[in-house]
Amino acid sequence: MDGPWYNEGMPPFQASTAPQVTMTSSNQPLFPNSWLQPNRPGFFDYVGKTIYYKAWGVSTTGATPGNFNLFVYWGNNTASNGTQLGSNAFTWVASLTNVCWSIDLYIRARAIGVNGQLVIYGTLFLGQTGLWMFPFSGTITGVVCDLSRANSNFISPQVNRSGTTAETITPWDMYWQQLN
Amino acid sequence: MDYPRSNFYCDSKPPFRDRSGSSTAMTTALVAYVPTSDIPLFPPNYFWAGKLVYIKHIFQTSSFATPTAFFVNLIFGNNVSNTGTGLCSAGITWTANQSTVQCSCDFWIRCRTANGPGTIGTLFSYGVVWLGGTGLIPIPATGGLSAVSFDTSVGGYIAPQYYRSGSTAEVLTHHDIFTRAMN
Repeated sequence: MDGPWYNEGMPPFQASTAPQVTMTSSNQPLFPNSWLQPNRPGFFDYVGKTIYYKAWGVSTTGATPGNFNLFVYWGNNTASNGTQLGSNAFTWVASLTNVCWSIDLYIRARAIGVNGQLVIYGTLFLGQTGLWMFPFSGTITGVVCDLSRANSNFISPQVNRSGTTAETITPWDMYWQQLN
Repeated sequence: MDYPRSNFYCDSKPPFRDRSGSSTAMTTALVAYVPTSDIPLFPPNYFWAGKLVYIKHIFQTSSFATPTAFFVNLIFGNNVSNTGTGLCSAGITWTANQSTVQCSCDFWIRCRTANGPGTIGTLFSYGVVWLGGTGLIPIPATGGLSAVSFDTSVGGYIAPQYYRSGSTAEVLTHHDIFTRAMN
């Protein structure tokens, strides 16, 4: 009760498991549009605005999964659409069945308007494989995005794998919070 | 300070913890190490479909020569040892001879169905346990988690309980716990 900068849960609130994604070497959205924050033009309307995102699910790997790759876009939630905010990749352990994973991400506006900037960071945890920072290395810098009221987009997590077998990933649950 | 406001505030739920517990021996059966006075009572018909609750538990353990495995269960009930409805669980191979290491559990409890007062609803729960000196694992570690049925007309507590499968006198000390309504 320190002030008006409440944390707020952001609808839609999920009460089911999301569709399973059969991974390929091309990006695919992790969630359907109905699971993401609806387009809200001008949502990032002050510098410092931060949202938190958590997702949880299971994944299964085959014999040659190669790398697991996670990308986050500011776009319309179709494959590789929009501006890439960040990415991570790690060597995926083969032959895991229904192993739990989680993703925690923070997205903060560093500038607003037509030449706004978003910065993203967080962690990626895969059971029996490891825990990674997101991004794993390199400088975290603001990515230029149109955050004006004339533009609306999703924060869109997308995945692919670099191997050759049919890995699957099933999101169980996810939620968004605005932190200020 | 959303635009527009959603009004789904994240609220901390009293009571607010102000002291640690005492070191308590672990056994091969579930024990409610968290005092009832430290956790909120969820009243009847508290949950609605999509309602999300977060719980964080901070504790300390010591393992000895043959701890074998550490088990955590999140239980909905009256906070009596080994009593109630299990919401999610995990077991982790426990490293021996870890003296007074810090540990934590994080849980998320999502209501998936609650068709009005006095009906059978379902809770879908998951989390992560971090045992210092041993490792970090998801709860559950593997498997397709199922929603667990509960009677929406009956209130109760939601708290973790723990046990060990080995044969030496491991101990656990409860430090802190907090609960938040996430929406």
